Amino acid sequence: MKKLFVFITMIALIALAACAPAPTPAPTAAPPTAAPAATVAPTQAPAATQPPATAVPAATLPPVATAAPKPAGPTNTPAPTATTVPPGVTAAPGALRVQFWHYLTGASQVVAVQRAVDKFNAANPQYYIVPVVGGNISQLNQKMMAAIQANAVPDMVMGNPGELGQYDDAGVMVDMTSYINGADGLNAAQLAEINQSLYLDKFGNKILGLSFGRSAQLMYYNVDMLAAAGFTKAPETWDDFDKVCAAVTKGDVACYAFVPSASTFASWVWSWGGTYSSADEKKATFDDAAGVATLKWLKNLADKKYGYAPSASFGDQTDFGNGKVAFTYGSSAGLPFYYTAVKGSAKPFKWDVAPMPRGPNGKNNVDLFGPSVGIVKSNAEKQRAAWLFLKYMLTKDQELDWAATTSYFPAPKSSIDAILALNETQAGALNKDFPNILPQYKTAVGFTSTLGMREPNSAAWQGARGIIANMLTAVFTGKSGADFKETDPEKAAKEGVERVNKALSEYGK
Amino acid sequence: MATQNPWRINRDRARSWLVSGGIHAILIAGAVFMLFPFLWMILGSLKTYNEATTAGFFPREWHFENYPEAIVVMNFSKQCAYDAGNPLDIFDKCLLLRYFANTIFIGMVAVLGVLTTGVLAAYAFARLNFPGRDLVFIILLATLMIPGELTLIPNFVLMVQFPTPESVIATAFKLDPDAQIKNWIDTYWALTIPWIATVFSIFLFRQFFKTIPNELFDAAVMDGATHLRFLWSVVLPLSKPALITSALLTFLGSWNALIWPLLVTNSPQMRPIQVGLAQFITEAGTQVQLLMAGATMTIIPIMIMYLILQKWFVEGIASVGIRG
Repeated sequence: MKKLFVFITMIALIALAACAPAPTPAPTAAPPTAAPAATVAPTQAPAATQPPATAVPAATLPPVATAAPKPAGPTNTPAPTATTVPPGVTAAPGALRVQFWHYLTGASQVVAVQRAVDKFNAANPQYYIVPVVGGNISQLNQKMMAAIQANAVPDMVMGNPGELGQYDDAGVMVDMTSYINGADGLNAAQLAEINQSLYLDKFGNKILGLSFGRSAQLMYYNVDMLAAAGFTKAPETWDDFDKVCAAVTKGDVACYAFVPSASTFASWVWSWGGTYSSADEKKATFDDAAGVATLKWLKNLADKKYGYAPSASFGDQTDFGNGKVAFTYGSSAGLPFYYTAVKGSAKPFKWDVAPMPRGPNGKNNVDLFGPSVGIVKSNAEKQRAAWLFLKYMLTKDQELDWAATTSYFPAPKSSIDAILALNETQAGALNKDFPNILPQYKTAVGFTSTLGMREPNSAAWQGARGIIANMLTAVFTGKSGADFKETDPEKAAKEGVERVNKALSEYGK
Repeated sequence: MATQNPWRINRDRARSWLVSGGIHAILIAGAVFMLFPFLWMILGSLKTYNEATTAGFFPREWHFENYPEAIVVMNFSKQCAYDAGNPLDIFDKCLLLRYFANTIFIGMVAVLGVLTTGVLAAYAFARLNFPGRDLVFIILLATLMIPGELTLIPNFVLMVQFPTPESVIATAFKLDPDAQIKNWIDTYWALTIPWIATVFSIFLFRQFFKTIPNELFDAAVMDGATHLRFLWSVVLPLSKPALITSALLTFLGSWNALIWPLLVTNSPQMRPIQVGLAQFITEAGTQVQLLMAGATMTIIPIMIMYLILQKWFVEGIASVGIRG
């Protein structure tokens, strides 16, 4: 018996050793400076202008008349999972390997990244992009910080703008300005297509990141519940919002599921006419009249029992799906989850999304956030390859494929227009589950392009997010604690700003 | 001959039943309490998304299809085609199998390593006399207070700096003209070697070894045994419970590891099963019912192992006075 066990163990060890992938080259130390791409003589035509290799199907928009596969009915799972991964493109001999670390852990997201990479690699055999899932956003941040310490960084990294700023503070990020403006860069028409304030991560005079898909903080609402209470559209002002709340709150049905979030708070402050932060992003400014009005409004929701705090993570989605709450605020990336929650409830209903209502001095808005990708310092040719990949990700076909799989909002206006023009069949051809959320997605894309705003970029603000969430919880629950003392809106705004400004001033010291 | 009072006998019997019943009731309550998370997980794996994220305990309908769907997700929708001509190829094609194989392999190496290093170190602390023995042991124990997160980055830096033995040999003996020195990142070295010695196991073994009577050692020495012979022939056979406890805990820790493998590996082929489970979680929501199905599948090997070894596990825990 013992001999058999040892034998099996040995066989397992040998099998695994045989299965081990070819070891990747040791990451090389980042050179101190990055040569601008524009000065590098291109050895081949820019990749992004080439069509993908014929072997790999491009995500071209199918004509309406094409008999595309009928969109599948609702499934048990929110995220699309049945997509077949195209055969991975093998690296051409001598191809330059470029590592891309990202935090998209969902199976369909991993597949979407691989599909995009495969297309790029097929069209650009001189390069070989290697995508690496680095865990979720905080795990990737941990991996990246460790890699910086060990001088073993990748060539491209995904992160929220603040994180890219954090990496830049460690001296490893490339200023993408020269690539964007260089010979392989974006021409004037391409640049004009992108809302630069929302999709480029500018830090002073540097551009550290580019996003080919952002999420937005949306107001999800139960159309049928509002209609039953006599409201035919989503509230556009906070007064209207309160009127809806007064009408729909009864029994075990609440008006709003409160989830403390700095992004939601920023959006609220803007909607009340506030500024959230100073123009140079070095100070928080939400203790002004608009910020206090925001917190007073939140307290009012709690006092009148219009709002409640869900106990479980993403519990707001489920409660919304089960018809227990009229409004939630959440990321647009959650659209498939909302769809599943509603479809799976005992009484499915009509639902939609809207921008944040406004106060007397504010405006309707949508906070855009989500993944950007930055280029990490390596060598001129690797950096150029990374840039060409990012540029490829901005092409229309790729943007449509990406949007249909991830629910992110594309950067170029032509891609947004193409999304808005999609019918159900075309959407189903991109991703069989995309038609499920197409109406809400289109609504969101439509108003986001005009109402989009964004939170401060700087890395120091990462640490402020927890403080703001604590402040919101203290005001909403009326309970003070070690993390946050004041519960009165005016005093809480003051304490919040003091704490945030202290964190901002201490960042990096 | 004294006759027993039947009333008294009945009263004693009733009291005995009552005490026994009370103890059993408490034990059953404890067992239910301990089993509840497992039941929750298994029932959650058979629910719809809505049911799995709300408070209901039992599913309205039993969705066994969650299991094949979870397998599909963990395998990135790839088909696991078996090729008779190249059977090992299935570990590359079928990532789920690969995850399992990696996890088992990493766990086994860690267990073997921990047993080897732990036994030798513990024996020295328990039975050998050398200057500063207790001080060294206290310092060793003190390292248990250091949070694992603190050592992540220094350990990662070491992994980047260490060369793999095979690349050193290949380079030194020019076995491969293209050979170059490789570091430990994305290799089994990084996944296993840092975990082949744990202070907890040394502590566990030392406590166990100290309970072995000195007379046994004296008798062994009289028979001409050395320390190593005594350790191998007497101490280890008597320490099965402690060894099995340590092996189980090490294997369990290895099975559940996520952060370290994510840090030191890049290719999917090198990653363990917990990474597969992470695929159900995105920044915008979690496929709870599939996550539960995946988790249920991944704990099966551990459960089987525990059921087989539980007798020694309980004995091991009880004998060294460690309570969970």
